Amino acid sequence: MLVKSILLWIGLLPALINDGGYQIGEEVADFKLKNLDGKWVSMSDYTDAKGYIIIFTCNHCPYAKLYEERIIALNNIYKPKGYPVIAINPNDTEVQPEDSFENMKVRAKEKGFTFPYLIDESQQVAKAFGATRTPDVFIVNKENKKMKLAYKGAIDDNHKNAAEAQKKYVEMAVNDLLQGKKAGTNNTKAIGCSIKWKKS
Amino acid sequence: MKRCTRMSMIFIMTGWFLINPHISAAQKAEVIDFATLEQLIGNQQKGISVINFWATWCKPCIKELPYIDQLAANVDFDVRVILVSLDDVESTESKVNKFIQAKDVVSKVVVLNDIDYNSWIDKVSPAWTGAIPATLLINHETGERLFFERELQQGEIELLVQQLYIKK
Repeated sequence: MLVKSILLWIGLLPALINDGGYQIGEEVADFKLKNLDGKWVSMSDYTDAKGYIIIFTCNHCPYAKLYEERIIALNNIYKPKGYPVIAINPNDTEVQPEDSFENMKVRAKEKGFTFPYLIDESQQVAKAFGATRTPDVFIVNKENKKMKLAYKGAIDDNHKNAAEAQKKYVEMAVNDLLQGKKAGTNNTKAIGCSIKWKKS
Repeated sequence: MKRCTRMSMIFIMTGWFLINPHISAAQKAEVIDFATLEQLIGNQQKGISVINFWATWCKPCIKELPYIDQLAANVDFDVRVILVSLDDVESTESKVNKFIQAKDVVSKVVVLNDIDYNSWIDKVSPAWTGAIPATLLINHETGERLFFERELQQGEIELLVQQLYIKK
């Protein structure tokens, strides 16, 4: 009976760990992922950062493409203020060859990415965060030297046209953090491409 | 005389449509907002509704779409399928209609013209984070709902619908 229930719990464990990922306010574990130049990047590399705008994105997804310029703009505005963008491609490159490491380099060069574009080959970072789609944003804030999740969700409310967005969720959230407040809106949703998980 | 001409015109036109099944079968997607989609779902009193969120550019969506489209033909009870395209409304004709006509899609297809996603995703299901494909199954008699934010496999959707139907 005891063995049985322990086995049941072990069986449920991955589901419990992956279910939804980090909650708002929860401490976020650092990661170490490969950048396009072959160097490894962690959040802790940015010693001066007040936090991070972590964006799961990719090459192929039409939504991800529509937001590329806006992601560059976010980094250009908020990196100097202490919130750099770190982009992560979570897709399995066998399922989605367009998102291969080589194609990531091509895309980053074409668009002139001003931020690291990391590959999450094991998909463990995407799972830890509870990312489900591209693009999917997680804002991490440093509080008493701990890294806490401050926002998760969409970049804004108009994927078609940045100029017509009524609510720029990520900007609103980082602006709140910069004023020492909690993000007023800390969880939003948007349509995106499903993350292409490895076929097990 | 005038009435006679009109009648014969109607007969001729009806005959033309009958011998041209391709023309009568070619459906066009209706462009609707989220409130209208809610009404479409809410108006249903009986049977099972299957509401599938897809887009022409979404590979896993295109893969599962035929299984969902054929659902009503493959089960012996009342199933109504609504295929909700999230393609940009501007490409309704060039992408959505072109696709559904080429694939001879038989289910109702709508294009959802409501890009303030955060305002309605939770109304479909609080469990939905926004990735597509996503599918909502509703048993209108019991009110029970099942929601899946992933690609459904061939045969799987029939089983899920059967299970939901039996539960009434």
